[in-house]
Amino acid sequence: MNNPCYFGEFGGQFVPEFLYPALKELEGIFEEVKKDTVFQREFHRLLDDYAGRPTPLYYAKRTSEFIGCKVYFKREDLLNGGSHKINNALGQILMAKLMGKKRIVTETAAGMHGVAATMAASVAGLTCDVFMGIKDIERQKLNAEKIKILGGNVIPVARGNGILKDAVSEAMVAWIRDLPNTHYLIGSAIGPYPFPAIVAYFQKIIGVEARVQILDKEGKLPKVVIACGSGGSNALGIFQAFLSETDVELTFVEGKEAAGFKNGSKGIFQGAKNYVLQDEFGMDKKTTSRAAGLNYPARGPQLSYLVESGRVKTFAASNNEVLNAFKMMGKLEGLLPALETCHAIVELFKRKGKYKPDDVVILNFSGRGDKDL
Amino acid sequence: MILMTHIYYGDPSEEFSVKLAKTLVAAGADILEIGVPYSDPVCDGEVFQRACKRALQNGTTPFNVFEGIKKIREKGYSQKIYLTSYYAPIFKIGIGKFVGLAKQAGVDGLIVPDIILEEQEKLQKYCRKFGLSLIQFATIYSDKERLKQICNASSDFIYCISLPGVTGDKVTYSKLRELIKVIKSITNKSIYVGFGIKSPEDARKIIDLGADGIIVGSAIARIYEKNIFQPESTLAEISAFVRRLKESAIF
Repeated sequence: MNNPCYFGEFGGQFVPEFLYPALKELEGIFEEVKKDTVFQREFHRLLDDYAGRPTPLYYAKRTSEFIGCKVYFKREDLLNGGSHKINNALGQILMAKLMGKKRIVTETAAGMHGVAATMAASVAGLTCDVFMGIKDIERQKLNAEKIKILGGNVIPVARGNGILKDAVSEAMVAWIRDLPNTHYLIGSAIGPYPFPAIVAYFQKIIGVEARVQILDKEGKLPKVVIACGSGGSNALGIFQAFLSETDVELTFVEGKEAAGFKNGSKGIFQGAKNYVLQDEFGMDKKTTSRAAGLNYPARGPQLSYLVESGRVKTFAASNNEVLNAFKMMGKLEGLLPALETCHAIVELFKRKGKYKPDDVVILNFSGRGDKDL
Repeated sequence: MILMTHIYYGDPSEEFSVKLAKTLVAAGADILEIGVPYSDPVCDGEVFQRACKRALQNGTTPFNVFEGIKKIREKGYSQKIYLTSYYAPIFKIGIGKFVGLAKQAGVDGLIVPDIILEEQEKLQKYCRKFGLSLIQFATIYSDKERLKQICNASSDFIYCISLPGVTGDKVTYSKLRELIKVIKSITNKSIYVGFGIKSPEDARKIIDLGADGIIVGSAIARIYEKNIFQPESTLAEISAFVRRLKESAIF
């Protein structure tokens, strides 16, 4: 099967007919911007001077001593907005402008993507409606407030269980209602093609930088790269640079209470074929991850493909393990990771004593945790 | 005018759905559209979202829907029944198995709101194998080229969506008029318009635009939802509503 909409057997475009012209338009503009030097220059200008790239690759000395090997953090938490989400937001905003769109709709759970999308929309002079589940607004109040101050509108989503997947559906509907003027700035590598490819493309800067940085600092590639996720935007962001290096182990950590890989199966969910937590009839199951950003039943199609093919190994971290890691990271490094990021940290801690002192581990430190206090 | 009525099976109970189907037919509905409740019904507005949620909460599965359709057939109902399902349940159960079971239950065609032509190869294959039609959607965003593809792929009526949005939103007449005109320039196949039809006035206007039929769903659920613990008590009101819809096309 050589269909560009698919990653192996995953992906595709399982959407209402309404979205056909919008997806075609996106496919076209996506191919254009990859070659458009003016676009690329503006994108990288914003990444560097607005978002704060490149982000440091921090040698976490005390963590290294604790684990027993060389541990580096790719500091996406230092970006403007507090997470890697700004990379994709800036890229898609520039695409939206090229398409002549006036309004952005998007979804958010932990609020990191909502903040990033609103920031990017304000930079580009577009309006931004952020759909957020009522349950998530409650537990991520700070980010909901931030979105408003930055010029976005937070639109509470009561449908379903009032969590991320419900916000995705509601944002999709808002997009359908006004396709000519609106762009749906999807925050993770999920949804119908070309969204997963677009998000992965704008996030790949994480791995491109990390690769150069680690070669510079250590003169060799890492043994392991660890990243957390659900759809997979930060994980794919860093993994892509190492895909062809089969000696580099790529480790993905999902929430145990939303474990789409561990407990899920192949299915159709929100526009694509991917791994999803579902029952025998294809109904997605309720998820209860404490980390709002990982509380999503599906894994993205590209990630599903990489796991299915064996290139990426998956693990799960529980709510309790995550809270312990959160506390420990403060004492160990004076860092306040997002609960989402803590999933990757849990897996790192579990590997204490398993590596040789010279082995190098890179952990994608995807976001900061002020929101979770 | 053809009146097609859409219900989500199992909301709020299987028994009620069977009674509701009977009421709709007795009041003049020409075709039944029976929906498989789904956990993320992205094409549906709030009324049908709640309908799906209630049906799932009481344990309704796609297999119950097949059984229900069998029951309706056993009561002697011989007109067309279309089965509506989002694609996820079809895929998970197995495309061939799902279509085969639908056929066995007595279904005439499938309506799948979240799959575009480009992804339909397998579904079309099994629909042909079992002799079911697969309904195609036309929207106000579809250009003429796309409408040609849609009409061409359609083996039955064209399901024309009256608005940009979800079930229960408002009809956009100016765009709908244009859409029906273009479809008529392409094909002689029947055009049924659905989404957002709430009143006999809406129905009348849509028939005046040249549609052959209308599809009404959440407006019906809205009636019995008012008395969700005793939905049977609303059947008389639903019956009157359906009669008025049917009559609207005559005057």
